[in-house]
Amino acid sequence: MKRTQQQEQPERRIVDRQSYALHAVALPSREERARIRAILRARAGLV
Amino acid sequence: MLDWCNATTPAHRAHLSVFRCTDPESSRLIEDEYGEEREEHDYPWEFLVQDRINHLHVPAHPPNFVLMGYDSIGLAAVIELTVKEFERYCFIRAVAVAHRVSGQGFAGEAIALADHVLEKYHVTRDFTVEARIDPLNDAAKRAFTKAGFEYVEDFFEYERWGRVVP
Repeated sequence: MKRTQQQEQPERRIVDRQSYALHAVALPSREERARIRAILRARAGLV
Repeated sequence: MLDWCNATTPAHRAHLSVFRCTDPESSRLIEDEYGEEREEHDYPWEFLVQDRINHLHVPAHPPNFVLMGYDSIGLAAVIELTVKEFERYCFIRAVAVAHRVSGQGFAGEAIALADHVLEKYHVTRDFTVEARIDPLNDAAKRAFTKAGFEYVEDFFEYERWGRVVP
């Protein structure tokens, strides 16, 4: 994902590979998937 | 529009291994208070997704998919996702656009592919797509918002975003 020229430069940050692996790209559990789905469906008025 | 394909061949693997979606000048090593070297980056989410894409296993086996979008010059965008067919759910693990073509809307094109992959499973309605976004990654937030996603909740250092299709 890319920044644009208009985007302000954020403050410098440490590259946290462990957090990325655990919290950004790890597939959520079946329970978590169901919970997110329920939240979104409720917001959309589908339940 | 990019020309999209599944990552399947050694050539695809080679293209992924040198994919660049961030400016290498933005990266540097620093020494923390314990004398340990740590990596620092102006846009760490770009660095992390680039590193992941450089090391992706090819071919990906369903329900995991790595889709590569080419323009006339070469690899321009990549999306990695996982489908849970019976839960009518898709998780976007990574989306990246090459540094040389940033800001041309290719992220949105990549995100839209989640629907096409679900369609292969005959899931065309009543499904959910989820992604994680770094809170400082405004470009990703704009792209996902444009694709119909909304913020769901904080998740450790990231944000959960999702989209439900009735």
